[in-house]
Amino acid sequence: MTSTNATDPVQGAWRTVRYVVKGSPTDIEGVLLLVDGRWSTLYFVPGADGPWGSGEAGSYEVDGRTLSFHHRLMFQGGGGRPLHITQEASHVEACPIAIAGDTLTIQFPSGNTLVCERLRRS
Amino acid sequence: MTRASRFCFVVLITMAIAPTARLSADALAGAWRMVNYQGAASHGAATGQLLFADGHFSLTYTMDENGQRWGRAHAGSYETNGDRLIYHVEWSMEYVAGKPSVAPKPSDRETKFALSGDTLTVTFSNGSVQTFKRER
Repeated sequence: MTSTNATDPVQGAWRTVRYVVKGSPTDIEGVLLLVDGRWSTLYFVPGADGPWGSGEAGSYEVDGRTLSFHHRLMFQGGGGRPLHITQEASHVEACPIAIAGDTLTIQFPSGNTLVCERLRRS
Repeated sequence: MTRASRFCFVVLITMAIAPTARLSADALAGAWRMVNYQGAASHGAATGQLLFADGHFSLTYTMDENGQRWGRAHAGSYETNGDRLIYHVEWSMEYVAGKPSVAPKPSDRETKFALSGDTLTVTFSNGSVQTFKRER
């Protein structure tokens, strides 16, 4: 359960700091946890109608420099957007990743990019 | 007991206790699946996921009540002390009984936990009990 794992370099706790859509970055606030083949995230995106939040969970696998998210639970709402809750999500996102020091960059199939920074036990 | 032997006794006791406290925190590390949720804050059959990694946690679950599905998600850091599990919640959102709440809401929530094999039980101060099974 340590933050350094040769076979699973993404395992651990990460702070979500930036989401880039079509080259336009947005600061986001939250965490992404990956441990024992399971992932979960909770993050907030600021907006004029208040923050929009997303809590998601599922399983994952790492193959070389590709991180595949298997989605199952999605809970999203706020910021004037409609509520969305499901335990039956089944889509998979195979994402090229890059790790440089304590920074994890995830390229989603949509073309969007998530930048995270590793969180350490305090 | 001389002062020296008393000092040695205290040191030995401290050395014996310290790894146990650390072991408790590490014992939670990993992935857990919510299998039951009972108590005042529960709203129907609950399923979800609790992760502990590197001193941080993420808890996301849904509850099915009378054909309606509610959700809660919390995340932050955590610590253990004996049988106490303290969630330092940094982010929280919920949609329960038609009331949405989406905002960072820093707070500390002190609970008691028990580990028995692959079962983790977390009891909140309001009497609510969450039960989890370890995911492998």
